[in-house]
Amino acid sequence: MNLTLDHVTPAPLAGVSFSSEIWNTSVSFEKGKFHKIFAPSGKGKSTFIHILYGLRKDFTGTATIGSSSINSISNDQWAKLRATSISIVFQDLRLFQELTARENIEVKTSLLKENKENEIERFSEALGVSHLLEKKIKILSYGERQRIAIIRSLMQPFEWLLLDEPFGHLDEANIIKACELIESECKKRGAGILVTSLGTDYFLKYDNQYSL
Amino acid sequence: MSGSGLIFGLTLVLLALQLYTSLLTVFRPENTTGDYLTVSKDVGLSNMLFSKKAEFSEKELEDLKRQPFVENSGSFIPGHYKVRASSERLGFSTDLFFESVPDQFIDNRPGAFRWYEGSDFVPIILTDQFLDMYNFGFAGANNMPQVSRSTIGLVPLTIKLEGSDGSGEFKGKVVGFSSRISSVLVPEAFMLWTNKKIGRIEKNNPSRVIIKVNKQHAAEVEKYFEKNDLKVDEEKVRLNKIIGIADIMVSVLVGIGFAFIIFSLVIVVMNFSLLIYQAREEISLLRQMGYKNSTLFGHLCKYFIIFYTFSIAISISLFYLLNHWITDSLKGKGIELAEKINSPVMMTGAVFIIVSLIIVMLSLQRSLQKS
Repeated sequence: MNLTLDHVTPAPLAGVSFSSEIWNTSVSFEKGKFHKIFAPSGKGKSTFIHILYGLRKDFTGTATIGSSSINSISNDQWAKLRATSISIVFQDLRLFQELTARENIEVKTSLLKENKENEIERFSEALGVSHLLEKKIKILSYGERQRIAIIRSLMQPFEWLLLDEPFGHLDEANIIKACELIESECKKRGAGILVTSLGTDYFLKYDNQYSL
Repeated sequence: MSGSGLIFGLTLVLLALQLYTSLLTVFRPENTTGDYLTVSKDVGLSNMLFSKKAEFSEKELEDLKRQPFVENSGSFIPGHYKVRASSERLGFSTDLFFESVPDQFIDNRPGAFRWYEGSDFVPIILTDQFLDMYNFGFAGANNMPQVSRSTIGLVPLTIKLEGSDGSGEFKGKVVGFSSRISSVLVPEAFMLWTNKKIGRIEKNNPSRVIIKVNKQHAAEVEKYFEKNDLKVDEEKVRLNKIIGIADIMVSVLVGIGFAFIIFSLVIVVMNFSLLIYQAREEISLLRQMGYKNSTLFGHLCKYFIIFYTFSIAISISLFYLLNHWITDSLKGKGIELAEKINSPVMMTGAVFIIVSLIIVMLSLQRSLQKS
C-alpha cells in the first residue's frame, strides 16, 4: 500500500511560510521503494514520521495509508498496523529501560506466532551485539541500544519500515552492516523504506529523495 | 492491605446474615408465632361487680385497628351457649367452650377445617397446650388414657350445644393444633350460625382480638396495652422486642460490613489506577509496538482476578470456620443453631462477588483507556 500526504501541514508550522517537498503539497510514497527525507535539525522530520505512525494528530490536510485516511483509523486498527504492516525505529529508540536487550526484542516477537529465536541470534551476530542480549538496556551505550532497536524493528512482517535518523551513534562499519541487514530484510518482504536524515545517504540506495 | 479490608467486610456480612437468618428460625419455628399477638381485655373487679363482660366495644376495636403496629386484626367470637363434648370410646364427657377467629389468622390450618350450613360435622382446632394439660394433668388424675396428636384426631366426638333458646347436636373431631392461639376453635361460619340459632344473639362482640404485628412498630405495643388496660401474651411481646433489637444489630453489622467492602474495593481500584498511571509510559510504548488495548486489559485483569479469587477464598473459609465455631459455642449454651448456610446468605454472597467484579473491571478498563 502507498503512503500519501495531501497538503498536510503540521500544527507547529501553521501560518509559517516555507517551501517544502513534503508539507502542504501532494506527495505519494510508492510501496516497495526506498525513500529518503532530509532536512536540517528541528525542521520536523520526526513529526513527519510520527504522523505516518499515528502518534500525532495535530495537522491539517489528509494523510492516507493505503486507502484509509489516518484520522479514521481506530486504536485497534493501529495496533494491527503496527504489529504487521508498519515497523519503526524511533529517533529516541523507545526501548524498555528495565528489560534486557533480548526481552525488548521479545516484546515484539510475542505479538507473532512464530518462533524468532534464530533470527534474534543471527541479527545480533551480524550487528555485533549478541554478547549484550542478556544485559539490561539501561547499561548499554547509545550505539548498542540503537542496534537493538534496529533488530527489534526487523522482527515482524511489514510493508513499510520507518527509520527516523537511525544511525546517529554508530561508526561507519556498523552502519554498513546495519544497512545490509535492513536492505536484505526489506527485499525479502517487498517492503518500502522511509528514512529521515540530516543529509547523509548512509549506505542505502534510494529511489526518491525529498527535502522537507 | 485493601485485600484484608475486603476479606473482613465480606466475612462480616456473610456471618451476620447467616446468624440472623438461623436465629430467626430458632425464635420462630414456623416463622409466624412471633408476629401474632392475642389481645384481651383485662378481667377486673368492675367486670365481677357489675357483671360486665370483658368485651371490646366497637370504639375500642376501631382504635386498636388504627394503631401503627397493627398490620391486620381479627376478632375472636365466643360461643354464647353451653358446649358439652363427649366420647364413648374414651369414656369421658366434659363441658367445653368454643371460640372462632377468621381463617387467615390460624396457623397450620388443615383443609378439613371448614363448615357449611346444614353439615352436622364440626371440625375443631385445639391449642397445643390443651393436649399437654390433658395428657399430663387431667388424664392421670381421672384414670384416662393419654392421647397423642395423631390419635386424638381419630376419636369421634359428640358435641351437644345448649343455648338460651335452642340446642343442637353435632359430630366433631379434632382436626388440628395451634401453637399461636390458645383456645378451642371452630370455623367462623359455624360460630356465627350457632350463635344466631342457639345462642340467640345477633351481635357478636369480640372477647379477644388477634393482631398481626407490624415489625417496625413493635416497640409501641407495650405502651399502648398498658395505657388501655389490655392483656397480651408477655412472652411474645418480649420475643418481639428481642427480634426487633436483633434486627437493628444485624443491620448495623451488615452496614459496617458493606462499608468495609465498598471502601476496600475503592482502594483496590485506586491501587490499580495508580499502577496504570505509574506505568503509563510503558503502556503507551506497548501500544506503539502494536499491542491492543484489550490485550493489555486482559493482563491487568489476570492480576486482579488472582488477587480477588484469593481474597474471596479466604473470606469464605473464615466465614465457614467462624460459623462453625459460633454454632458450636451456642450449642454449649443450649441454643441449637443450624450450621447449614441459608440460601439468602449464599445469594447475597454470589450477587456481591459478581457485582463487585464487574464494577472493578469496568473501572480498570476506563483507567486504561484514559491513560
